[in-house]
Amino acid sequence: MVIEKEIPPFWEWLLGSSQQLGALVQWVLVMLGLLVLGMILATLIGIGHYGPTRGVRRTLARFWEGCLDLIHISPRRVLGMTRLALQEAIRRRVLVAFLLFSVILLFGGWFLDPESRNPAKQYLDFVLTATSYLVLAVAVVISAMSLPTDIARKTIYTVVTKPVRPIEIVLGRVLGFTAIGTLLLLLNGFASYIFVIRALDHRHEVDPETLQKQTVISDEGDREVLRGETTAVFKHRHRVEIDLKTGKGQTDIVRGHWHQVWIENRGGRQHYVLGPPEGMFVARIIHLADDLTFLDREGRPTKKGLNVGNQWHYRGYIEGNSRMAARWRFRNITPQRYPKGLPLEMTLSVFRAHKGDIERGILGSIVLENPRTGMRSVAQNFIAREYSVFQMLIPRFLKAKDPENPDLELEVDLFDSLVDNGELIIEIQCLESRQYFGMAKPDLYIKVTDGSFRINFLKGLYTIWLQMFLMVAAGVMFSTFLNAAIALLSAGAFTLGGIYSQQILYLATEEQIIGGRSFEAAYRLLTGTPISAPLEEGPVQTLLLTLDAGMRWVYWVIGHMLPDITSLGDVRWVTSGYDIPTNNLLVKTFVVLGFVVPLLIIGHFILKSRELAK
Amino acid sequence: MIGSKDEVVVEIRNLQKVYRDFWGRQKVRALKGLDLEIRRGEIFGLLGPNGSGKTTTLKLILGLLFPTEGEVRVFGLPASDVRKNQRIGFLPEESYLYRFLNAEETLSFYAQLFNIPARKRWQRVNELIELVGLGWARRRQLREYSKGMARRIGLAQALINDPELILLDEPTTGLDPIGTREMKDLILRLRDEHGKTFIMSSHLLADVQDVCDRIAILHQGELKELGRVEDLLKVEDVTEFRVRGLSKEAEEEIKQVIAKHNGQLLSMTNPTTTLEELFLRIVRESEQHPGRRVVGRQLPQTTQSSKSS
Repeated sequence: MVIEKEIPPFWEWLLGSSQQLGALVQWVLVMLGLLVLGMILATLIGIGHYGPTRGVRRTLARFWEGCLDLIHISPRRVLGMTRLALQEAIRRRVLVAFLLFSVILLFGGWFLDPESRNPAKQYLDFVLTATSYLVLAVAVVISAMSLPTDIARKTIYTVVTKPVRPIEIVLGRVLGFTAIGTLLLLLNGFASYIFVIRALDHRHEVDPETLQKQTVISDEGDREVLRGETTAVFKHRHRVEIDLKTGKGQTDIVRGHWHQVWIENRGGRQHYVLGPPEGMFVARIIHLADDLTFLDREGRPTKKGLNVGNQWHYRGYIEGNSRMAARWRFRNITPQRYPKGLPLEMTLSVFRAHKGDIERGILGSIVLENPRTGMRSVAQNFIAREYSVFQMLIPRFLKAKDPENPDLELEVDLFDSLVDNGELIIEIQCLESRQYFGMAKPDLYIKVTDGSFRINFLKGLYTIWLQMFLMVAAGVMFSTFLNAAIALLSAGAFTLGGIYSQQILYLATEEQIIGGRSFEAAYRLLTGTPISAPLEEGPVQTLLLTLDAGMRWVYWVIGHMLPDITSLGDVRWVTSGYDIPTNNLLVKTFVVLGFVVPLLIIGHFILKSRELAK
Repeated sequence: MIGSKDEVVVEIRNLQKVYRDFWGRQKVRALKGLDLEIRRGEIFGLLGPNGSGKTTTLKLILGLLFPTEGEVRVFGLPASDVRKNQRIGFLPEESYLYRFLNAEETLSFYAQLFNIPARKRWQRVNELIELVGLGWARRRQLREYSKGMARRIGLAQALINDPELILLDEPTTGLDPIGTREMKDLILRLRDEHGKTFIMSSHLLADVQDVCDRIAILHQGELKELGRVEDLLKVEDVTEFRVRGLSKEAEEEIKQVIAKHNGQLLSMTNPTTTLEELFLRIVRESEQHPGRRVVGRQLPQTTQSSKSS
């Protein structure tokens, strides 16, 4: 699971901590800044039109009227405007977009492969991405074009000559188009869910020739079982085990799912029946570590792992067969939460300095350590494979080394000896020479339980809804002062800018960028100078660097003004099989509100201050 | 809330409007220092050729445009104050309505903008649909309406809040003669029975003459004439008699009397009715006697609707 930007707990994020200002205070400061900037701009425009005295007076009067309007919002009028926006969208057949989506699903089925290694992820990625793009596109188009059309057709005359506040026009439209987007999203979401579930549904049959009766010896008593294989469907088969006493059993996990199996008597004959795939669509609720540190080649603590040459610095790497290690520190590890032990899961990246047998995983070891006493468990080996989730249960009772005498192995209770006041360190090493494990903090976690996939799917749709709500607000805001085409372009640019806001910030904050920033890059393109070659010293280089230094500020401002739309949509949690934490949803809801509220207010004041007739 | 007849409903002081282009350069000076007062209960007409500034004046009163200089106050509030809209109704030049709504939805939507509760809203919607005679087309989308029908529903939306002041921009445009007469009768009835104040702009002089108490004539953004219609139209040195059943001999006698008193007889003819009156009489008789040609001409009892101030 890739989590590039970690989200702090909601209240800490909102109200801040001793080290950092809370989001609420930051928001208020930005709003005050915007207010001052807006007032300066409005006053300058007023002075340009009416001269200094009247200009200032009119601006202040209009501002005051606008503020009064904001506190006199009538829910009934807003509802009226909302209903109008809904009727407009429905009667202009916006829901045709749903039919388009259905067609996409029909044809998309041709290009999706149910025989792939992780078909559920592939299918969910496809349907949720298609849903997201379609809903966002519809939201941007209808929200950006409605008000300019009203102004061009002069229907707005009959509205603004009623006691309607501009905020009610803006808010009503935002709510109306959001309602339409919600309807579209729910229709598409439902169709997507049915499509994925049905497309990946399959049944195997037990291959009777492979069945063998065996005796399983265990502490709870011996039992007779039938073991064999299923037939192959979607290029995979399962091993099956049926308890002869109960007549029930299940298959092993292949491609992320298993099947229930049972024996039925029909007409005096025994039939082996397999149920539908289970565990294919999951929503793991996970317990993440508090931090991840590394040990370097000499075994000294360090914050970062090796860089194996990736431009993306998300993961740090540890070298195999060396003293390098990755150490996760967990908190709140209690026997009440994990009475049977720790169900660990890992999504390590594997980097091979020599290829070897690509199908074979890389050997690693895992050790648990008490952060206070330093007692360490006996290392357990595991095989890590790229692009797969490795699961292992750390049992509650396990062997550990005596800190006084490392040669002595003791049988200990995990919670008594290795966990200290809820804290535990888990250390991973790579055991193969010239091979590397890559890891970021979320690559090792404890699986708490499985949440409901359906609810998680709805949570994923909700994150798309948040993106759509923001786009609608932006579209309506642009439409208060631009004509339809330009408002559409601006809303599109806002969306694109939001999608790439982190890259824009990267251009502002990164000290060294290969190939340079805007002006240097443009110069290199025009002159054919390779990005690796340094620029010749001289006035041209000085000019380009100076211009680019100025552009860093521009990028900084733009990057901070635009919402990070990519991180708002959390569908990858759903497609990767992880439950979206409620904390994330809360934070993102407030982030979106933090943008929507000023967009509404800006739209209100623009509409208030412009002449709607010509 | 009905005030006294002397109450000034609209007050315009030194109103100027300059239209500018994107770069702020002056394009047109549409109004050049207009001063007007419109009092409660009067029907005020803004007259003028195209481009004279009458529609601009209406838009400034409504707050759709902002004055370059001067000010407009409606019910004592600045024109930019949205609270004034609670007491006014507006019928634009063309019925700029949402064509995807039907008549009921249209009126309900505008009623909602006046914060009218649902039960009262639907009662008002039904009353107005009947008033403008569109009961038979209440569920049809406005895109299917003729221009005259759209005009009627436009008038209904202007009346949805039972306004004290109604602004009408070219109210009879697009209406057939019957619709025009009904519109004029309705304006007079609303003024006479409900004390409404009207401001209407029109270049159809006969319509203005029929209904307006006072008029302002604008030309190139300037006020050229202002006053009561009958005062402005009165020809002081000409006397007109209208007599029925006079013989030839009596006519000769009257001519002699005029000559005796040094008067100059300008004309002595049988009057003609207006084309509007003729048309309306033919249509009404045709409705009463379908299939029969209407013959003969008859001087109507009155050629003007009853007008009182």
